[in-house]
Amino acid sequence: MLWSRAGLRLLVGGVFAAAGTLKAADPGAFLAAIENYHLLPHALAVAAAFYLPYLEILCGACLLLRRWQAGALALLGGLMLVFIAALASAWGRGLDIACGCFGADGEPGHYGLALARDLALLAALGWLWRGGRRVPKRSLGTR
Amino acid sequence: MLREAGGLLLAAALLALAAAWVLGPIESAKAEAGEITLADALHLQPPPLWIDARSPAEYEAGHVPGARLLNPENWPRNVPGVLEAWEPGRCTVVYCATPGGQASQEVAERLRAFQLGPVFVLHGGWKAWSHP
Repeated sequence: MLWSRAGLRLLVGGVFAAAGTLKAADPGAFLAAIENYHLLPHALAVAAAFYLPYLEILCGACLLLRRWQAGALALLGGLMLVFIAALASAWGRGLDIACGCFGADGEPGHYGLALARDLALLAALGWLWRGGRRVPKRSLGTR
Repeated sequence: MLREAGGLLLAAALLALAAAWVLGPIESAKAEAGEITLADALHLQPPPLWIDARSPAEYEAGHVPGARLLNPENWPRNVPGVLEAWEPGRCTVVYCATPGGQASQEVAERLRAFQLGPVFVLHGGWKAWSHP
């Protein structure tokens, strides 16, 4: 169980660190991906294009390095809820856009796949969160 | 947990500010109608006919390999060579010195009148090529 949790933590941390790095490497492409959703005014979209990649990188790094995990898991969970809501909104409005989850990636319109991936990541974050909150009996001094 | 999340939010803000300071204003890679991004232009098959709508001096200083010089000033002299170079099924991509510049828009508009097939303006202009 511990090994699977550690493996999942590394996998999820790596995914977010990689996604953030790809977005930070090409902020213009990520800005275009954000603007395609037609949810934010230009100034906020620019701010998000700069800010979100670094938040993902830092949170991903925290999971990889086992530092500030609770904070990182909470923030990533919130981010995933926002991403899922944005994807569902675009799908509902019939927009033919790429999700932009990894910067300028992917073909437009693959909403089902992107939502399934985001929901799987959200479930993984939830599992890691629950595991992190359980306090082992041994650490409480009971034998 | 709140302290950790706050620390991460603040650290990300500092990194984002540093990136914005280093990179300067960013421009959306999204192309307007009639425009094409460099990445898309490079994937066109067959490769497009590139048209350089800048001045002859700028063209001499550097241009997209194979690009033809054609701007509103030298139009009568250079347009026959462009029409000769074009082949059916080949797209045309026009660029000038400034993103969304008037020269490339005007040249593209004139070329469309020849019904050469799709004629695009390069999103970001020459800068998109020279500083991708």
